[in-house]
Amino acid sequence: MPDEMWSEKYRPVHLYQIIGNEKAKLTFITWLKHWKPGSKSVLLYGPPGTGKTTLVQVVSNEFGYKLIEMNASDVRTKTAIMSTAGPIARESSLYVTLYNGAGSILFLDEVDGIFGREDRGGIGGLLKIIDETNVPIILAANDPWNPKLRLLRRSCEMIRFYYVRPPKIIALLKRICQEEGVEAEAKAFAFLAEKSGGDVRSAINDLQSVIGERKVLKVQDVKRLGMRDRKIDVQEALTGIFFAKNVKEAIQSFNNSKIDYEMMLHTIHDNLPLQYSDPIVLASAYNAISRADIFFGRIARTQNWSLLKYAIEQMTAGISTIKKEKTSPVHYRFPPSKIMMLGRTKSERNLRRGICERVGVKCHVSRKAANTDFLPFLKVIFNNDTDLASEISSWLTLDNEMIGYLEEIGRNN
Amino acid sequence: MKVITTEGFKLPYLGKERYIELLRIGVRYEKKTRTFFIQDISNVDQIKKVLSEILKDDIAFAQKCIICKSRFVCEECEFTDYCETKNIPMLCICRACYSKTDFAEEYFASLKNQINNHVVS
Repeated sequence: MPDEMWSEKYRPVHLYQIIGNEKAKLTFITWLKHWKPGSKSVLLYGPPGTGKTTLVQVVSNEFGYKLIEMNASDVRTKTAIMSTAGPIARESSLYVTLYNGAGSILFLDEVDGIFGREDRGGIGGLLKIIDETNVPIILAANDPWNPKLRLLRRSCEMIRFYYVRPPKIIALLKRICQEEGVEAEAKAFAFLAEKSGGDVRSAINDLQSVIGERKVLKVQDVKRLGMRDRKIDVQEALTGIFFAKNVKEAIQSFNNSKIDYEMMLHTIHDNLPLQYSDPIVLASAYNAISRADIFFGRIARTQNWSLLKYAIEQMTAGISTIKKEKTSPVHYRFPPSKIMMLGRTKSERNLRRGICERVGVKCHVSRKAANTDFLPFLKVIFNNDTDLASEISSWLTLDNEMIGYLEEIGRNN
Repeated sequence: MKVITTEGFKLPYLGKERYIELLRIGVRYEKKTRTFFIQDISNVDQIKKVLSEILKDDIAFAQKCIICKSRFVCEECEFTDYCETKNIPMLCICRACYSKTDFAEEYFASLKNQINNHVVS
């Protein structure tokens, strides 16, 4: 087995060596050619192995840019981003003139991974840099539809990358085999292309793993690899579920998706009226969803997880096998409206909980009792009697935000 | 089934709302030639649905061969069963070009031409 990974050995050096996504490549080059301070940054998005990172590396090399990369392995807190990317983003045109180059490009790979405690404030820092930058900023993500990336999406031009088509993958594999002096059957290439599911990197890795020391590659050699289960995004998963030809396909589409069952239930619920227009079909679909919901309720109550398979069958196969009308896939709505509503009201709910906690401590009642029995009166007091309100707020040690909240909801009521 | 080419197709009178809907999902209208063309394929599923409703027929997007520039539909392709981007209007390789023994060289040569032309322009 050779030491070097072929996905690295045959990593494109020139633009014409990058296969697939031709339109995306040209759009990206056009964006870079016309970029000037104040222009939008670019967000390359699409599934892994479709050439996003490679395109940035090759373009920067071919056009003489100095590429500064930050990927998921780096710490990407606000401070880290500002200290690394900040000075580059403020690079002046004098630097470019002095060093006789095209300047720098800042590339942040896997921005959809900038979350959590370890990356606190990362997105905010990034937005600030995008606003003030003097150099082109390129972002890449597999799934840009996370609500946390909403502001980032607005400040970027989006370029979508699709899975690479089989004939193009076969062309590349053929070329690699020629370079390696390996003779291969056409069907072997076709099988590898099918197995890769449009992911070029995995196709090259599979080719390398089956060739090993061989000089001739036959179709039976590659068939031992089996098919790869690829994690699919929400649009693909919903298309797979709604258009499954049988129960097995519907469940498989759900199993291959990256979404948990609760989120999937809400997502399917939201998208049913978009997909089905016949009221009878729609009613049957809602019925299947409600049965799934009953199973989830029983699981929560009894912790009997063996019921999960019935819930999943109801919410996937239950909605795909009932369709009578001929439909085509639509652009599915995601994230679910319930999750979005909870996100919007999170700060308000936190404030309300804080007030109820303080009332509970002082009045020796539960948070629930404080919410139902005390809060309605507090709203009235805070809107009508400022002296009493100030006494109560100092007794309950309410902060300004809480006082403002009580005044506001009192006014709205 | 109606075959739609991304660079230009005619539609019957749409009315204002349908026209705006098409513009929003990435279809543009060229007054000079009185043709519609697909500018952005990010919403391709939605475009397909709307066009299918307007034309009251199934829609297939024509694919363009990057090597010979011919047009074809995905149903003609031998990889259609497992292609992940089936029926999305893209540059591809037609059956005739794919059956040639040196199609890989031709594909890379076409890519080189395309990039060179774009960078120069």
